[in-house]
Amino acid sequence: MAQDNRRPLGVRVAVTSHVSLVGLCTMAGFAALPPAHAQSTAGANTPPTAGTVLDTTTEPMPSADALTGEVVEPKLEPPVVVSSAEVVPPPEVAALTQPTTVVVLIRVTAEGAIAWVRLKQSGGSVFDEAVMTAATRFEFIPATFAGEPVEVEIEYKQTFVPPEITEPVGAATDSVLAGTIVEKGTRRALASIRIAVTVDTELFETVTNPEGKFEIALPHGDAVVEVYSYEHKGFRVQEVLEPEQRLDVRYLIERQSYNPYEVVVIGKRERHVVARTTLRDREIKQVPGTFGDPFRVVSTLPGVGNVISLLAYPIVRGTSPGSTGFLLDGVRVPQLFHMLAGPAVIHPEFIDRVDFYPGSFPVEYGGYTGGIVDGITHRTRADEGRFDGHIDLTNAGLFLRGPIEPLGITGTIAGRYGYPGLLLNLLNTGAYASYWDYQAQIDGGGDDRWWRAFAFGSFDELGEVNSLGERTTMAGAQFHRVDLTYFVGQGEFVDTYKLVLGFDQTEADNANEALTTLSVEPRARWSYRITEDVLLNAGVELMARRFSGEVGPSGEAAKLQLESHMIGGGAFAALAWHPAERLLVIPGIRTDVYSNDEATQMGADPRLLWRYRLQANEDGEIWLKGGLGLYHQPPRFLVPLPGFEELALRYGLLQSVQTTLGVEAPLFGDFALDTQVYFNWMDPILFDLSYSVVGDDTDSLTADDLFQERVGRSYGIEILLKHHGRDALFGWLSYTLSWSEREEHGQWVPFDFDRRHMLNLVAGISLPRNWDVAMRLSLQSGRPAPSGGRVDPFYRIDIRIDKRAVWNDWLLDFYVDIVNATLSAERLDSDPDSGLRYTLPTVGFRAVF
Amino acid sequence: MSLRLGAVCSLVLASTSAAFASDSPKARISDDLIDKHQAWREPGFRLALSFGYETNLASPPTPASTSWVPSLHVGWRLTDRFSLSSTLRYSVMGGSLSGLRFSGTLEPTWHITDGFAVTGGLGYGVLMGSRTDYYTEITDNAVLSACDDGALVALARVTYLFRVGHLFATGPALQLDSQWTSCTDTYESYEWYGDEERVTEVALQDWWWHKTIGVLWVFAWR
Repeated sequence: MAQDNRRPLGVRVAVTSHVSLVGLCTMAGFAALPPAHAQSTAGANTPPTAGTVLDTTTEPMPSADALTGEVVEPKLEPPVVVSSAEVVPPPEVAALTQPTTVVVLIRVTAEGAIAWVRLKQSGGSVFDEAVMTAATRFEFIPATFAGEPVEVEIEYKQTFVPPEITEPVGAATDSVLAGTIVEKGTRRALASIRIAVTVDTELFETVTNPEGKFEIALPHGDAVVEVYSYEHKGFRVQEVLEPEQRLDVRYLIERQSYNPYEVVVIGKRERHVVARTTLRDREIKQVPGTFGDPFRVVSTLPGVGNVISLLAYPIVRGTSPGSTGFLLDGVRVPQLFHMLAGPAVIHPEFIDRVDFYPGSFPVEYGGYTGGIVDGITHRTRADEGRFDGHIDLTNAGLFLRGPIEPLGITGTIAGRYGYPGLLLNLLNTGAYASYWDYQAQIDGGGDDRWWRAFAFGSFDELGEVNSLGERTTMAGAQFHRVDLTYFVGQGEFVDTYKLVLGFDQTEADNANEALTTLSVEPRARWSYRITEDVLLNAGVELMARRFSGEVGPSGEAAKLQLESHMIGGGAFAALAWHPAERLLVIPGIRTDVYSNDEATQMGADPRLLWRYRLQANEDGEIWLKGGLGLYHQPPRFLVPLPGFEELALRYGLLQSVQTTLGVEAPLFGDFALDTQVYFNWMDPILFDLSYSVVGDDTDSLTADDLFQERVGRSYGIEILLKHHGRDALFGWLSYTLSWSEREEHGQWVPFDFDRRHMLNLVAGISLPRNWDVAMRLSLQSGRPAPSGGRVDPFYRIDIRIDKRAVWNDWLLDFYVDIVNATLSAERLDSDPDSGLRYTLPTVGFRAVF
Repeated sequence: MSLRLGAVCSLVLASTSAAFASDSPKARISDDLIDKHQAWREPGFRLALSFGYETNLASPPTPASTSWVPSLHVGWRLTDRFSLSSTLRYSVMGGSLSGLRFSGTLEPTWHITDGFAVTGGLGYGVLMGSRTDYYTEITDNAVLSACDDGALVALARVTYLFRVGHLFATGPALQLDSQWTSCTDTYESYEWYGDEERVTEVALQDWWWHKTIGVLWVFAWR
């Protein structure tokens, strides 16, 4: 980081510190407790642990004063400072325009040493570091309680005050320097920025106003202008001031670091779920190997396996991809990813966070027996404006958002066009592919009532190219949605009313065969607090679909015409109930009905989730949690495809019983541990993803195999160690030990995609000068091989490097993302020659205005 | 008439542009606070992309080839004289040997001058290639026609970078590398015993030693 250690001439740096050890010792943060509440976790001969006062086995009793006979209670004596290291003010003090205070907590041991220093109130990163560095060198005489040394926590406060503005006495000023200080790249006007101008040897200073403007009277001559802000890099220019001149300027100063993601203060809300992992910001946009696609990041979480590593559709706790719901704001997306390992069909800028449930999801979600991946869009701000364009080796896209002031609404349009055919041509595969997607959204309304109209769609095409360059389309898929939503309420009490209209189509054989679905899906959700301890969540969902199709060999005059209708609906209700202060119980019930021309099926899903707060300390809260529930879904195709929904309803609903037991605990620093054990019983299973023979002696997979009912079970342990801080580091370590099995001929055999061990390490760090570097290591043991045994274990290393270049009025993001950087081989069978080696290097550019 | 109209238009445009000039003064960024050469000597993260062309010096049984080579170089400038970096190199091979060669190496670098640097590295590689001019017959002197295995890699590189600014530099490089790949390939040998055809699996193993020399153009950022 470039340093400018110069200070303006004549500036007197003033620092005041407020050390209130004695007074602050009596504050709530002090861990010493009066004897009546003393707790001991140690034996009589071991030192007291942090937070304790006495060993209760040797608890001193009140004694009588020798002279007066008066009963004297044991007394606390606070620690005494014997030497305090000087807090060295950082150079950035010169840039302050108002005082800033840093408060730290210091734990002083019974020996008078410093156990740790933690930041309680930040005054800015450079000032925090100066105070914490000094505090680690303090020396104390330890605190005592009833004459015995004890370990305590104390507060230390340090305030840095800005230097006084210098005004030369008697200076003759006949010129004016006026202008605006603007942040380079974002064009944001900067308030309270210190400006120092030196003309000859005289120093003049001023501060910008809330609009970032300043005006200062100066003598004419050569002037050196310096701008000071500890959040920005040093700035210095030279100006020539003529007599009787007003010089207007506009200075662009560059921030020390440009975080592509807004720092959102996430309020602590009570969690009403058991097995959910939420990812946001860098966690969904900068994970290597995911192409910046929020939905692909789910593959790095516990409980998630894959068919092969290139395909994004996950195997969640041993279930087929068709059993896991991919949703956008709770609404099913008929096709989530473009073909040929393409990106998701929704531009990532719409996604605020991704909620992932590997199982035990609440009654708000229905119609799935595997997991839930729900991308949540964020509510646009009334003044939000953004232009984002990107291009890389496989696709290009635009995102534009801005207020439409005459109408009082915010409008957004976005789209992408994919050209994987270029890469296919380079590889001389004789295949071609292309895709595009679009999104258009308008938002309006106020704080407690607002609405959104969101239209989005996708088109994919895959075919062959002959030697003459003529194209033949082999397969195509498209869908279009209009989502109209009305929100009422604020905070956790937001009722939603939604209507979704849809058109889905899948084509094959050069459009000679096509399956089309039209759909209407209204739904409503409400939240209502019944009492202080009971919250009710309820909802209703309806669905009507018309399915039509034309199948038959090309050239045939008479084709088979298909047409059917499906209607359905669901209702749910759940109570979030606190029978005790530490216990949260969430019983819920959901019912779903599906009816088409062939059959009517109904499922009732009672579910119970609970959370128990075991302990709360300065690091956070430790929770025990669990869930037990019944889950139903209609039969679906192996992977989501438009027009293929809810096939073969006459075969009945799939069903699973899911159980989860786990613990959440904060660890050192900003790390937290989430561990779960689970057991799922699946009976029946239909459309199970399989490449092995089922139930007969033939060598090929037949349609009867697909429709045959199966019974399955899966169980295991999932561990997630995640960094939750919002500093330079992000990442997590996930590990799954799992068994996924199917019953065959009375015996349990491994599921075709059973993997015993799955390990993922995601780690990223922000470096100076707007660099971000991230790495992902994926390691998984082999799944059963078609020819017997198991395939070899597979590992993959992905790397991503982001750089943000700052121009005067815009920002350019440049990134390199390499999937499988070391070209490790992924075996498809026991045969070593069956390995698949691939690498996907991508270079991308993204402009932000 | 046209001259008068032109004069009026000029006056209007001039007054308009004058109004814009006073309303929005030209933006200025800071003068350089440190020299660009000093900036590049400072410790910190470095990233470079390079594109090059290399030729493999053939020595049997290794087939000859030429390659286009995109590479990614990631590293950290430790002092004003030394760096530590890693290179991921992907060689797209053509000629007698078609396929892809990958290597990942760890490389200390000595910065002799501001622009001139010498690098040496060791690492791991992968070779996925097949011969275009030969196919294997199962004989006593059989030569592999394909290879898909891991390898040991050593390289040396000299680079000269022109400091375009504080953040960007570019320049040529000359690179030598050696890759030793233990190739194993399995073939099926068909033999007739009377009326019965028998298939025997034959595993052939050989070492392929690639010695390549290449020229690159490097684009570096800090």
